[in-house]
Amino acid sequence: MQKNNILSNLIIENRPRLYRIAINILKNYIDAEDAVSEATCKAYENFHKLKDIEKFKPWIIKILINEAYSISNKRKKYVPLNDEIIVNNSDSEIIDNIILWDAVQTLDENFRVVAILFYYENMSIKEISKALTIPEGTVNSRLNRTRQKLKNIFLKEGVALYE
Amino acid sequence: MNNFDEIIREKARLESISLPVGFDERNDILIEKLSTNNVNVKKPRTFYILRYRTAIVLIAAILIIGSTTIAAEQLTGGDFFTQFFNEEVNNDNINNFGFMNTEQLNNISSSTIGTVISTDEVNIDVLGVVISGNTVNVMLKVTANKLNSVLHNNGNIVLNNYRFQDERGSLFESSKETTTTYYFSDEDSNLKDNEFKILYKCIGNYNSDKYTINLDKLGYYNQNLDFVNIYDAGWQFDISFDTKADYSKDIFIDQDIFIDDLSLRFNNIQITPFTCLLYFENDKDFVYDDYEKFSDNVSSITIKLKDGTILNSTYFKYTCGFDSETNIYGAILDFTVPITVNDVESITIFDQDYLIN
Repeated sequence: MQKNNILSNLIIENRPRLYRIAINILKNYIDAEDAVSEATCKAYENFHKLKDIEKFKPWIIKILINEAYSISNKRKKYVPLNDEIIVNNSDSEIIDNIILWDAVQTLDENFRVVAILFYYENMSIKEISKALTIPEGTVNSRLNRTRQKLKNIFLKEGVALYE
Repeated sequence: MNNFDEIIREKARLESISLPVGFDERNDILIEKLSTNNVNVKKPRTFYILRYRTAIVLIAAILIIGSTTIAAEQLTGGDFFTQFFNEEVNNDNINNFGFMNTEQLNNISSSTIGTVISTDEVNIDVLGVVISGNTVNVMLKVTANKLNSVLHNNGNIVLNNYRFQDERGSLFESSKETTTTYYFSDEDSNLKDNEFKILYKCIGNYNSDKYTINLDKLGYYNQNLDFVNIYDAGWQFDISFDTKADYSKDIFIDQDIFIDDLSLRFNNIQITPFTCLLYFENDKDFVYDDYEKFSDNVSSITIKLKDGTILNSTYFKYTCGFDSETNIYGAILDFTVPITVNDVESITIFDQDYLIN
């Protein structure tokens, strides 16, 4: 029971970030919450396998990402969500409201996920590599392109973020 | 890490996370269940099929926390669903479902029961269909006659095991929302290894006396999440909408409500034993910010029964959505167990009570 309490607290502490990652991948409130729920269930099923509690965050994020991609692949078989609420903001919208989140949403999925994990979750390239099960070189390459794309967006809108 | 990264990380740190209404509460319930059971609690594999060619676009999250065992193998029709909901209640040791009404289920049960597809490869049995107003629950049992097992655990909780690749037909086309849940023998001891059940929960506009279900291609998703097609075929059958009774109510409200500077017309409430839908209209052009004001404030809906029982979000799953063309906003309450519509005294929303009778 003690272990369950620890896990409960860890999930409650981390679930906003789990949702943020899920919504970033799935772009759909319902699917994102479903992914968090599935990850919660899986965390309970597999918590005994986690040897180092300090590594809970990358561990649960990896589970969440797997669940999100599973749902994403299934959803692609169904009717496209044309009226989806989370949509790619156009550049003109960003002019009015330079919010990093909006800028990140304009990126393609692969770059979007790397951006969220690197910038929002402060994960290292090694941790992202493990979470996404891709080589570190690929993470580096995606991160470089993500940087360039974000710089272009901000520069285009006259925001000198990194002077 | 360079300066750009540091600035972006700082900017990211300052941005808040916007969670859907009720997200924390729903996850709390799930955690409580998982913690209480102290063992693995598997979540039925649930898919949401949202069809945007019809009115309401659902955007808020709903969560299925279902029981994992259904002991109603020999029962059909209303009796099947009576047993089904009893199991739901028995598996919930936290909440009091004394208001549940299963006596009405036989009267709102379709005559479509039994084997509807019988081929060498696949048998499909309709275990039960219950219909009331805009809500339909359909439970099917599928038997893969030539397979030893329909379990195909590839490690993906959502997609493992056999399933149909596509589900079509007039039932789904007439539905605004369809929730699909698969049950397999690893969770339902009444099923054989080559059998599975599917529960379709549909909300829509049903004016016909018959609707079609088309199930296409039986197979499973492999580890690359590609669909492995075992039977490249389609199976079609009809569901009769011929219940003896309909306990649903449509209550005309037609009152203005105000959320800060947003003015909406509360049009009507449709309530059935299984769901409650509330419709609001904004007479201006659709603006997402307006809808957001609505969705941010609409969550605290409660239903008061005549005996004083208050049904809050513990007893239903809450969803809201909009139709940008008509600028109608909707809220859907999906009850965990069937209620008695005539027992509903009032609904409270935006701190205002609306009498139902």
